[in-house]
Amino acid sequence: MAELGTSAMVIALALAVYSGVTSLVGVRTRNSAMVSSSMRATYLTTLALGVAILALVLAFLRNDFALKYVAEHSNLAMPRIYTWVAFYAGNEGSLLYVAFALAGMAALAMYFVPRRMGSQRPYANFVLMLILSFFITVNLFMASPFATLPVTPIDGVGINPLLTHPGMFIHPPLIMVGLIAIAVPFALGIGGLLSGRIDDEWVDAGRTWGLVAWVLLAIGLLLGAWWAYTILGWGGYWAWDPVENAAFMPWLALTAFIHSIMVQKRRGMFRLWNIALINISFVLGAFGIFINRGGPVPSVHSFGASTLGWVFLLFLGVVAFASFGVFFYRFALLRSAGSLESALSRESAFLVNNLLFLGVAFVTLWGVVFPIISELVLGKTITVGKPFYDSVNGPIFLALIFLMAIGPILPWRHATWTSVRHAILVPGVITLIITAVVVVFAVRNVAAIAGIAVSTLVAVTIAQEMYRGTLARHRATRSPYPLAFLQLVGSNRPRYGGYLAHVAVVLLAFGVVGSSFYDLERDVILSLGESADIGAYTVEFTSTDTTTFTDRTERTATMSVMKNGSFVGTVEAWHGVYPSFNMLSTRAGIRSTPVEDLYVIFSELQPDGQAAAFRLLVNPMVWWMWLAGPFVILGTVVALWPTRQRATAVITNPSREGALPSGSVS
Amino acid sequence: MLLLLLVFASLDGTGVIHAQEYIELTPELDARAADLYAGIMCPICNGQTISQSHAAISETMRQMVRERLVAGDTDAQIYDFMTEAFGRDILASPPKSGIGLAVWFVPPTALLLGAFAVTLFVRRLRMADALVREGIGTDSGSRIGSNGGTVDELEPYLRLVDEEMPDIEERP
Amino acid sequence: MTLVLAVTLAVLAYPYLVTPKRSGALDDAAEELGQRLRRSRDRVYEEIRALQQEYFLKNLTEDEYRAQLQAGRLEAAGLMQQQQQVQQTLADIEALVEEEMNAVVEQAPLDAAPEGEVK
Repeated sequence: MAELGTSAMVIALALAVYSGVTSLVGVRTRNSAMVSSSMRATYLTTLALGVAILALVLAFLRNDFALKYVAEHSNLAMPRIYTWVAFYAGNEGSLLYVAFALAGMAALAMYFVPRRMGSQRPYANFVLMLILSFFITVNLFMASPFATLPVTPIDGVGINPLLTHPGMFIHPPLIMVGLIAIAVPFALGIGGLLSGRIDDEWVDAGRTWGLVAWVLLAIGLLLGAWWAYTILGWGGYWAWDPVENAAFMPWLALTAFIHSIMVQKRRGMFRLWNIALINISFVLGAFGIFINRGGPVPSVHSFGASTLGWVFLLFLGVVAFASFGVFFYRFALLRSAGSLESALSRESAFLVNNLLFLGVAFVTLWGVVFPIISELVLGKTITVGKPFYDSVNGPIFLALIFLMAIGPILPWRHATWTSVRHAILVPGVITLIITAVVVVFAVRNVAAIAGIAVSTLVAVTIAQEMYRGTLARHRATRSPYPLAFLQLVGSNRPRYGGYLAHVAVVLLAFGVVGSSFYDLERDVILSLGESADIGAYTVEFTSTDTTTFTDRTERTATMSVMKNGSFVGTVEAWHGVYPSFNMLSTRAGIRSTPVEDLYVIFSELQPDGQAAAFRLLVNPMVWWMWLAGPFVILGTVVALWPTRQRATAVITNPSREGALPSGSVS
Repeated sequence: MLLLLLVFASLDGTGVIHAQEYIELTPELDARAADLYAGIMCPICNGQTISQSHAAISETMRQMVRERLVAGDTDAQIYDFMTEAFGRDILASPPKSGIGLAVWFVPPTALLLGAFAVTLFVRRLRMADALVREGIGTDSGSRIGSNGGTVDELEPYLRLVDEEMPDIEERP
Repeated sequence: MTLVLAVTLAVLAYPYLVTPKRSGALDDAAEELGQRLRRSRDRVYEEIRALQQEYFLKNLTEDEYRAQLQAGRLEAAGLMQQQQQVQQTLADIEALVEEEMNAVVEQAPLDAAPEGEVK
């Protein structure tokens, strides 16, 4: 297995280098055969890396402990199903996975990039293959998953217990794929600049791949939050941990990008800015990869602690330098096409959107980097934790949600106050009424009120447009309402896909407001049979169960839950001790309703075995947050769904006889 | 540090706090405790607060906070108490003084600068547009009928365009 | 292993050995320009469609709508004119080349080996 895997990686590297070189030489010498060959090499890298992955997976399945990586991340007792998780649990395996993902996406991107992009395509391929070569090189020479041990151990160490959870099957791989996916729109943009022929042709491909990277990261982040909530057992879902932030920042930049690329698509503007933005996104992605793999900031995520930090720091430096080098070198190419007629227009709204998203990214970056700086410069570490991020980013998010309500109402180019007033009047009034009701019902926290108000405004404006649009279409075409609605969505997929994503944000906002401001938390010690109150609930510690396995001891505590005096069910909180990892893992007992979650963590069994420490929480509105996931996916699918290409008309010369072939086919 | 030793002396070897010694709180104090836990770091837990960490020392520190709460300290006094015992690094958020001030000061400044830049950018674009409208400036591709030809010349093409145009589907 | 390498090399070498029929550079350029203009026109149509939607959703006043619609129509018409001009130029050049070729052929029927192809 080791030889197969290593040879496959060597071949992949050779192919990647060949592809990059021939793309560059081929496009400069206008040798289309060479370019064609380079594309084939790109496709083949995917195959080669796929073989390497297969080799590693087989090694796991066969318990081939001669391989150091297999010995470190699995053991005989590990259920086969976790092979997938063990595969990427450490640096070596996950790098192989990232390389494979990049190769696959590069192949897809190059295959589907339209012919009309001409010389941009091989330049983009060159950039992609450069990045791929870097990853394979690091993987092959510095962190090979196929390194062997001098003596084959009888059994392996086993898999990190924190990873044995369904969320772990998808969360880390998604984040990793999402981060590297940014390379594709980045390569398209830089490729365009290098080719000297950047114009609006790259916008469609750039937008598509930007959205792909965006949705991958979005779902990865949501899954991470869900996993943190159910597994890490502290009752929260987002800690502004450096590794979380490292994936969040590129996502923020990508969100800015997918919005402002629409301005370029519709009006040919912001050409310069969009390239800068995709550069920033990729640089942040490289920074994310750096933080994840041996970065200098301590984190609960510290992932396969590795000594490779400097390599990725170097990568980050090169990417930042090269991308902005090319940007400034080709600066003159990027003059904008359109002009702004009015400060009140959708274009301006998108500018403000960009400002705010990059603002959050900057604040987050500042918070992550400041401790490093203070350590280097002053010798003392100043921790920048959740309270900082919450209080600084909170208002910015509030402004962004408000913008989500206003932006879509503004037409392109020029909006008038009359039309804005007309559009916002009804939603505004409804929002005021709802907010007033909410305030009366004892919501007094100003931030919470603001959050509820803007989120409601967005929801109502979206509902209003869906309603008006469906109605208009129904009247025009006599279709039944459901069909009219679907036709409406189909008629402008980017817009309505965007709305679905905005709905997801609103759901998240409600969840965050509810659980941040109105949560209840209590630490208690209960003996068997004892109960404690939290909010309207009474939780009784009814029984406990202990099971010992070869690698762990598991304890389950069963709690019986009463709400307002009547029995509503039981929850089980679980707690496992892994002596060989010196680790404690918990699974919260959660009773989830759309209104609130009752959340029980089983912290510690007392030495006498009779009583236990628990943390009880009531988290309102968390249920809504997980609903955001499907909406994000649906929105992206709708936004990316291709529209039928228009058939080309033959242009009849109106002042001469005879039709001339237009010579163009869409 | 002396304080720390004293605290540890009252616990058994595993660091678990015995049920008899565990301090329970009223709901109001619970709410304050939750915020306090989120504001204090666990010194050995890889960047987690004592709210997040399950470690023994984390449990100990939470007990200390509870003690102070029951004794009637304000939040500020409790933070002071903890920093005396564990050092300034124990705070989850930089204090709003000294070097910590820089942390809080930079973000709003950056945002204001950004807003300023956007405003300038918008004004520049609008000025360019105004110049084009007056026929003075050049416009590299503005959409307002600038692609050569007078309206008369374009007349026959306009008819073709109307034929080609997407159906007006939503007439009232 | 040798089989794998051989197959890989074969796949990579294929484009060098099999050269596709190359059409004239001039045709390519004109075709591309025509396509670009066509796509620009399509984008204008997209804008008009979005405009109509905004109008029916009452986000736009009547005057604004009319003004922007007219601007859009004019632009599409201008692009159409440009595309037509490009096609016309190409047709003219082709006609000119035909003439030249015919002239050359007529003039040298009895000369020794004919000159190389006029491309």
